[in-house]
Amino acid sequence: MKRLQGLLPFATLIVLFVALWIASPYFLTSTNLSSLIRQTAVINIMALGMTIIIISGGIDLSVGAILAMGGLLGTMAMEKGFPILIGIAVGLVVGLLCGLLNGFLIARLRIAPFIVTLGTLGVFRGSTLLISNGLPVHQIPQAFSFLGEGNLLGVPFVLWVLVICAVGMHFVLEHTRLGRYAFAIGSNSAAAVYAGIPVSRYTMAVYAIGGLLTGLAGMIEASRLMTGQPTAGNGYELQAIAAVVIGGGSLHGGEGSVMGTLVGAFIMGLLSNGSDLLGISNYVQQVIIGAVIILAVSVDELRKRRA
Amino acid sequence: MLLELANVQKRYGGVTALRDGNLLVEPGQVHLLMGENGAGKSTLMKIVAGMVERDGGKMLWRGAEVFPRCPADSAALGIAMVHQESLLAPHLSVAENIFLGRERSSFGFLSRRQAVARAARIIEEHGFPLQAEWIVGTLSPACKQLVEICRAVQNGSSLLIFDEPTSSLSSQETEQVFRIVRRLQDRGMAVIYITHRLEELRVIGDHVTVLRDGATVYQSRLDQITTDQLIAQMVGRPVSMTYFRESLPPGRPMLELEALSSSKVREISLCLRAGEIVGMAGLIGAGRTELCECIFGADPARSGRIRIDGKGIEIQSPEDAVRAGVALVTEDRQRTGLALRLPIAANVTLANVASISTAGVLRLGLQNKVTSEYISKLRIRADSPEQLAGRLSGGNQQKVVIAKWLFRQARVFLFDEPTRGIDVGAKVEVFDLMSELARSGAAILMVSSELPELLQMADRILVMRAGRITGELPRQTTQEEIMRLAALEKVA
Repeated sequence: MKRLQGLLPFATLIVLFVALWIASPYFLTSTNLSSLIRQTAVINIMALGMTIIIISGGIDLSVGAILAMGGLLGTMAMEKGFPILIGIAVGLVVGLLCGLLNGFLIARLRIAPFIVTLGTLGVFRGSTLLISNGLPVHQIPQAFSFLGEGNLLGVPFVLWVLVICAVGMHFVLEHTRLGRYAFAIGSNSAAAVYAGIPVSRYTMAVYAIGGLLTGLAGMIEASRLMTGQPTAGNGYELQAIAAVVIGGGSLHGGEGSVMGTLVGAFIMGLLSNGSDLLGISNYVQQVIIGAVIILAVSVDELRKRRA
Repeated sequence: MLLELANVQKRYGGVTALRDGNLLVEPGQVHLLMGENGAGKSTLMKIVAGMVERDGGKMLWRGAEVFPRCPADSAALGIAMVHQESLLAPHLSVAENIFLGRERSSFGFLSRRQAVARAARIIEEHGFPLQAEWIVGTLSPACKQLVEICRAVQNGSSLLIFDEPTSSLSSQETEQVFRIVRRLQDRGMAVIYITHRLEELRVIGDHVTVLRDGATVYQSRLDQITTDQLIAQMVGRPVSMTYFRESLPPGRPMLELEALSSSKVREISLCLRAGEIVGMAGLIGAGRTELCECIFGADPARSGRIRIDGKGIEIQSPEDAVRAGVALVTEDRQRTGLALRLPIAANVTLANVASISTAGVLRLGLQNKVTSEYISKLRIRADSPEQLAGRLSGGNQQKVVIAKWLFRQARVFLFDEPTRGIDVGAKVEVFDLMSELARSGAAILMVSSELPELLQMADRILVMRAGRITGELPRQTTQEEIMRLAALEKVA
């Protein structure tokens, strides 16, 4: 039953794929496919973090700003002469700490996640601009570009990173106590408290994981652009949320899956890639993607009502 | 004949909710509609009220066939429904709620003053203790019900449907609802009254229709059937309404409270012993639920001491309470007892995930095995451990909540209204579980507003009023004695 429910977005993805294959001779070329994967990887990885946050009944509007801060501080470390791996680690830790701060404010001060992360969106973005003086970081070792642009065993390196993150997140959600508690808190947080679950600790863990993945996405974005860009990731939060929601996640919490989120992110990726190939303007693309989000969620709602 | 339903059917997807619904209602009649959960009572009434459309059968209103497609259609015919769960907007005033969706406006502007005046007229006409300007969210459940009634009667309806109006009311408030029903009846209005509570029958109704498994199985005047026969009709087999539980010699003290006070309860001292079921009676608002929440750490005590199994402990949160072996079966299981959108297995293991996981990794096989065991042991009617808790009937949901605490191996159980919203058959099963728990050495505090249940189950009964314990009564006490302590006026 659960598997059937996930089928519709998946079918949509396949239909889109086949349609583009027929419509454009350039679509099914290795150049295009690997650029599609590289384009979607950043949103995909952020969306994986957003998945567990949304399952736990929360939301994180600050991920775009966390991405920029992680990317900036990570590349600044490299600029200062630290090794590449240390630079990447800096990006991840910055993401983790930002997520932890969100989680702390939400769990301890009991302010709605929407409000907290709307606030931290401004705080993180502003701090990033302050730290960088609004200027991008360019002095980055050439080898760093491997993260976003390199190939391993004939496919883009980011695909491996994405697969590992996706498998890991799936495992966390379906096979660990943390995942179980995330579902329980999202499904009914009062019942979770009454079952003796340390809800605030697990809420913080959920946002920290979301932040960690966003930090990683920030480093990938920086590697692709070979710049630490303080204005990076503007509006990405909405794409990440859209991917989760198209994939069957519910903003009421308690529902969502890694498979769904990946499909959701790839549907949006294909729409934008296809529009580029077919020469559809950027403006029209935005309209299409917006309409798809509403369509996907209303189909999902109808299904749930009937079930 | 005011309303006639013949062979009414309704299917939801693959599920047949109603196979053969029949009902005859005459003007001025108070007609009880009875049946277990899932028997089709609510579906039948929703069809009458225009909230769902029937798939087959006839609905005659004053002799003519009608097809209400929405609540407004039914309202136009003169049919109104008072809902079980309040469908009011809590932030709006009484007057605004009464006229919600039916505002009179001039050029799109609402006249506040006029609405308040009209609402006040309706309220005065019925003698309700309400003010048109009051904000609905601040009212008691009983007063909210009165607002619902005002809303229902404003258009001069000739049939009013009550969906379990008294399930959340105290006995005084119930009495008030009864008076209103009688007054409506005197004016020639017909009332259909859906109820679970058998004690209410004789007081209020004159005709009864019983549904079982989606079909009408019995219709008659109330004075032609005994209560036991009526239960047999509902359940489909003879069931005794009186439950007998053997008292056990009490063991060592399991829960001791010493002058426990919170924001809602004052200086509560009591002792629950192993093997004991202690009843807790009182009116709505007496502080019984609040005491349970205080012991359980949901509203931590400000002063006083708690000892569990002889050891003094601090309970600052439900987490502490659960760790100490305290379980709370809450009054409102949908809100605080269950994660409805998660499978039964997740709910049963929720309070004890540690014992089905190694280093934070779940052992799903073990989880499902454990859950299957509880499903068969507690006779939970479910297809599999994977079934969503929200898909179960009230009685089976309650068993899932109990299974959760059994799996946690709790030793002190606080049952807050354990039989609310569950049907007669399941009630007996819940009592069996509680008796079994007591036999196995658990200590149980049972809060209930159903005095006959307390008299059947409890070894002794504590009575609360205004946040304090006002007395303790032995097992052989009477309802009158309990009510005297519960409602006693404070001696100045």
